[in-house]
Amino acid sequence: MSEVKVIKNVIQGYIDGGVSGQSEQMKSAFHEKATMYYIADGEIQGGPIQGLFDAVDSIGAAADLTGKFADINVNETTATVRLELYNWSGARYTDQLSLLKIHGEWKIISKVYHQH
Amino acid sequence: VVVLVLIVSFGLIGPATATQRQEASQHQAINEVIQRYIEGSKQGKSAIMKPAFHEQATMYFVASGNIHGGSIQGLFDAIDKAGPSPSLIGKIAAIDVNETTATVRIELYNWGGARYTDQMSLLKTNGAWKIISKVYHQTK
Repeated sequence: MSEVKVIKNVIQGYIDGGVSGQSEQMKSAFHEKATMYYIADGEIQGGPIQGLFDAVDSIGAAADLTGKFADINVNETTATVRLELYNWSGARYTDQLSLLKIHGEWKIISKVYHQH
Repeated sequence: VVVLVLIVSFGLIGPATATQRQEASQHQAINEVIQRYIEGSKQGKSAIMKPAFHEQATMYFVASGNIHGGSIQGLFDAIDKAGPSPSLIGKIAAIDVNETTATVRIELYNWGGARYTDQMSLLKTNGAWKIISKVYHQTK
């Protein structure tokens, strides 16, 4: 399997967790030290990735959510992914994710996102 | 005059649209932030690059399969310890902007003899772009 395919499978776990509204499903896609940040009214918001897991569990299922890979840039042990997310409970987001290849497994270490 | 300068500077063909002009100025602002980081690395002075990073920024990398890194302070300490690296060349390979977020890929040559690729994530806080995440790969 190509590196891009492997990375897509990891990210799909994150999307699937968003669809089901169950953070347990997406946890393995992230490193435990991962962070999530975004901007609201010019100010930086976010912190540990637990904030995403809590939000997903509290929002619940988002059956209409679809994710589209816009760009994947792999560099041996690091990668960035641009992901377009549609209809996440009616909202549209763009994620920019950074990943690391740790003991052969790709893990998201950083998520920044913009809500359109 | 401003439009003409932008067309010449960014090689746009024909009249630049508002979107194109906005994108060009975003790229320029991000480029300036990244140049600060490269300049600080060249001079071996973390004080020069600190304004490029958000205070909560992190830096991570993988060596022998293990994850290393943490707070961006680790980079500042390493820079001050390593000292000047005058033959360092930093080239921005790609910038992907999305309103309040961006990623940048930087190729770094001859950093104390080593070759690195950085992948940075940035956030636009109150109009100023700040690096929030750095991951890098050292090419052996």
